[in-house]
Amino acid sequence: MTPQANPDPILEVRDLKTHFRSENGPIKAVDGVSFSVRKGETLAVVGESGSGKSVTSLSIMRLIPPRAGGIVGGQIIFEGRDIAAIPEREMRSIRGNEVSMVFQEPMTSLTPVHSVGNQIAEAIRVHEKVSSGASRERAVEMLELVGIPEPRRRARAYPHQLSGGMRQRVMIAIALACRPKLLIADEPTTGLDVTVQAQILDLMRGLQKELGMAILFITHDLGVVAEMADRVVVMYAGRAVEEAAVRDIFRRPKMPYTQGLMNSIPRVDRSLDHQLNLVPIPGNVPGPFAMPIGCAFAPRCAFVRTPGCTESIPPLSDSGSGHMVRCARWRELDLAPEALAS
Amino acid sequence: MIAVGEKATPLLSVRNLQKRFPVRGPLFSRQKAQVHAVEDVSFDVRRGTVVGLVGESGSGKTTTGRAVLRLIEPTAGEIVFDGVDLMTLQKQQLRPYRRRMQIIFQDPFASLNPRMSVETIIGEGLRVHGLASGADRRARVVELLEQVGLGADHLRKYPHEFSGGQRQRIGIARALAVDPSFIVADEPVSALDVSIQAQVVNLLKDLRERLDLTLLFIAHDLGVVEYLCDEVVVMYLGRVMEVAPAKKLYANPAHPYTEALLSAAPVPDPDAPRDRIILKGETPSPINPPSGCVFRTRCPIAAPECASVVPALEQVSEGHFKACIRR
Repeated sequence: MTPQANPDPILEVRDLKTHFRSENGPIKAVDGVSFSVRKGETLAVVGESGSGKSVTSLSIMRLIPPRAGGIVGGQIIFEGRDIAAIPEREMRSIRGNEVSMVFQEPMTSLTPVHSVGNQIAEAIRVHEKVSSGASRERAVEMLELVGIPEPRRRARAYPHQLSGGMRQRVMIAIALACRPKLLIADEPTTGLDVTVQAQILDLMRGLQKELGMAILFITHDLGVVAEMADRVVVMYAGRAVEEAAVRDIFRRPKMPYTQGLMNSIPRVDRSLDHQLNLVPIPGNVPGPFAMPIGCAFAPRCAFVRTPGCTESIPPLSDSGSGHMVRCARWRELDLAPEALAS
Repeated sequence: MIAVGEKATPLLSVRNLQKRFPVRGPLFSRQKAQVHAVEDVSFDVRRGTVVGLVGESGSGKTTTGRAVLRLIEPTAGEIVFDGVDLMTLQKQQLRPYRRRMQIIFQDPFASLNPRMSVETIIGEGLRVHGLASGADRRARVVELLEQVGLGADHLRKYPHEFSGGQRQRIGIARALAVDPSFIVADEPVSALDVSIQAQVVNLLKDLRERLDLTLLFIAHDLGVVEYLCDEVVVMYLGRVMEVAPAKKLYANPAHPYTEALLSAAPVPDPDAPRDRIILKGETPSPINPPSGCVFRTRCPIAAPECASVVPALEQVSEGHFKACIRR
């Protein structure tokens, strides 16, 4: 089940299970996810709503509210330590320091009552013994680093005085203030306009080059994946269903779901004459209490075979050179992209 | 002015549409401020075509869509629908047009009344306009459900029993119920997951061909617009930047904003060339839009004279217009 040992993983998620309580029994939001992030790389986790991608990132940060649910199995190895098992007190010295996170909605993740400069300075002082003057100076440097014009003046601004793009830059400044080894970016550009999204993605690429951190990039947007990722994990219904280098995911998808996603996106880079018909995936993602017994994608899959696909969950198998695929039929299927599109 | 590509009169002609919303001015100031949501917008929608209205937040695309239906009262302009200027009509006189012009909303969760069954939701237009009752109405609702890919067994269900994609199908069936000649679709697939989005986009494409619909399709996703639309109107900060047949717009954008917008759209191909134009800053406030060309503050090729004149839409080629003095 566990993918082959990777050179220099900074984070290894092994068979992670995060379940939530509900009146109707446990909701298995993440149900056996394994992947690793290598030093300095960008790993994209892509999936649609209900795939468990965000719960995976919140689990790594240990931010699942205990009343709602929690990690019920698996390990999260960060720099040799299982951070799923350490006490909250120890986790606090890692969170926001060695591993930090940028969320989708910068307005709700910033407090409205402090200036953005103070919020960045605060993030530094939590983890480092520095004077308030020095931390404020660092805050201004961080604002400059994330491309905010007039950083000294903007440090005194409150979140509501900034635009959505500027707020997301501030969030990135906070996340990077302690020079983390791993940045988790959960849909960091969703909800931003495309021209602003382009700015933020450009900024993140530049900062990664400059600071050398690894990025775990959570997104639903395959266009963003293609731009940002070195490697990709595709999630569906709480499990990883495919993992490969970014070029292999787009050129040689092996899981019918991945190929279905590719055929569902209209693209601006092709002239209309070459615009293929969209081939949607029929049906819907199964609900948490209606999970099929076998492959979760089987009810929507064009290649489904009984009983192979419907009796047991196929394992995540290595199809060669680390291209992992969870499909009972991967050996027989030839899913060259657009093979299905007419 | 926009020339009409074909001899037939367009179904809808919007001319110099303007919508300003009053907002409270600065504290203690007597002066009232205004949001310049839509300024001097003109375009045509020919019968049987799909026109895409694209732009980012604050571009005025949604306000334009609603003003065209007079769901929002425009401040000025003409909305000529099938030869009649809707702006000259009283509320009562608008009624027949309310049937002929329909809207599909973005949020399939907020736009369906949770207390109504699917049959009531879809049949409401038929009832209100006195088009069908009793068994006839039910038969028509069933027919509509089938048209949008849902079955008769859904008649008695309530919105909460459906997924987002299915709800959007119900919203489409509701719009189609009264046999409209024109539909405004306001970001109908933006809230849906990609696999479901493709289902609904294909449904719209299919319905459009089968029912010969005329659509104003409002969206920010350029890929979806290219897939579905014949013509595209690009808006920025309340004004039209470019109008063109879809093919021309995507192959040869004439306006620097369109160019930047197209180059900013992420392409799902790791090997795609990325010669990206990254615009500086963000859209300015519509309360105090820049003088002259509203795009000039972010434009990579702006010149001093851009601040003094509001560029008019000029023809580039047949059916292709741009509002830029630098190109």
